[in-house]
Amino acid sequence: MRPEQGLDRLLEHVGNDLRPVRPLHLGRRCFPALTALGLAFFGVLWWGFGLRPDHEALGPLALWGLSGLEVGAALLLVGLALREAFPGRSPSIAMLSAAAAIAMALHCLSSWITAGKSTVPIPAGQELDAMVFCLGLELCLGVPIALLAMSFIRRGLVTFPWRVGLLGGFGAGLAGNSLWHLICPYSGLAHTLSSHTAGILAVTGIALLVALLWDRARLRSWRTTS
Amino acid sequence: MHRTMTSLQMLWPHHRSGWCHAKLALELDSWSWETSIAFMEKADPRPALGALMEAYQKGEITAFEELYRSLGPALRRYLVSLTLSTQQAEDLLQETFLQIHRSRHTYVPPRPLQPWIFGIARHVFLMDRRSRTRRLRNEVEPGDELPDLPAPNRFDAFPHRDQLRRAIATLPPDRREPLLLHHVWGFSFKEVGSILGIREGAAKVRAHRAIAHLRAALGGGNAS
Repeated sequence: MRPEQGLDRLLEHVGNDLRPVRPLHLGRRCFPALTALGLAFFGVLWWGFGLRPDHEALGPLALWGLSGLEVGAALLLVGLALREAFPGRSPSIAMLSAAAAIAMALHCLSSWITAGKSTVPIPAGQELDAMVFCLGLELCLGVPIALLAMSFIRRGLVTFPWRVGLLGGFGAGLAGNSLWHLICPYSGLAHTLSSHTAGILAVTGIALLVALLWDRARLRSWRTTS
Repeated sequence: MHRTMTSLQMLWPHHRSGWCHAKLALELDSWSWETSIAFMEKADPRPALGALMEAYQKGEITAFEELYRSLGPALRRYLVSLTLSTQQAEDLLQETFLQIHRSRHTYVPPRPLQPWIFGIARHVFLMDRRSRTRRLRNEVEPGDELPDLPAPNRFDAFPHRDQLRRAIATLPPDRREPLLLHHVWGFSFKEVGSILGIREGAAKVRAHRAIAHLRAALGGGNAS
């Protein structure tokens, strides 16, 4: 095909849809939406459960400060996921791995500090119930956050959806955990490192699955011009 | 410093004003030669291309035409380097510009345009490859049908130009891309990393290994 023929065909396609578009500023839309959703979730949790019973023993730093740190790490991960929506701006695998490692380390640190300041054990025989309950709450908080973030990222052009699923899911799981940290009555290290971490990883897994399913669907509809 | 005007009239991303030099040096066994590639830029093309893209985002069809004429040849050669097939590259070029059209909202001024454009081209290539469900084979076409892979213009006088192009074609894709993106199209290693989704250091290492591969491939040949 001669270049001019190619251009003519393109102009034919393009000419049918030349409406003006605004540059996509994902951060300006996604972060406020996520914040609003997070605050709404917190409102519901506070109304339903109230702050954790040992909030006075923890003090504001261990309570709000640690949550704030986890929220910051969560936003960092979601921010990296947002970059995947813009061609030519993919963060490197090394950067993604470092961010994920730092975020997980923060979560472990938060659990350790909380357990150190106020260990509230789970009543005997209720460990499994507590685990299931916390895991379920983390999923209820994290999955909607992940889906909301991914709905924004989809507006861009994503080359590696699995990265979006991993980063967005991990960030959302961490955000959900930061909310649940304010409410969960149990602060035992074994509980938080198992149940809450499992919740974060479960949200990550679900987000990754959603991303892969989306990728498969768009691959099926992929066509090249002939 | 040798300066050679490229005949491709491509616009290059640049990181300093004036001339942009890409130096590709290969040392062979008994002799060494350096090739410097200097590209004349039309007085800092980034604002011109960026302005074109902004005009296109606002709905100006003429801006799209100008972008096609300005960037089409470079993208075509990039796609040839990925697909090793001129026919397939031509098909993907059309799809790339269609994808540029559909995704024009993802360009955020005043960011550099070329990494964005090349990122879309790479996206199209990867999607096409996956959809065809076949493994990329480093097949070299027979000499008469050797795809017009990018190579420095200076190699026109080099008696083993075909040998060099064949050697480039046999490079693994993950090494060929950084080599060509940096040494032919002039992207910084940081930009190469952003396009490919790897670290800047990894891009440098892969390009260096590509040069070592070429050295090994060409060094054993007849250097006369």
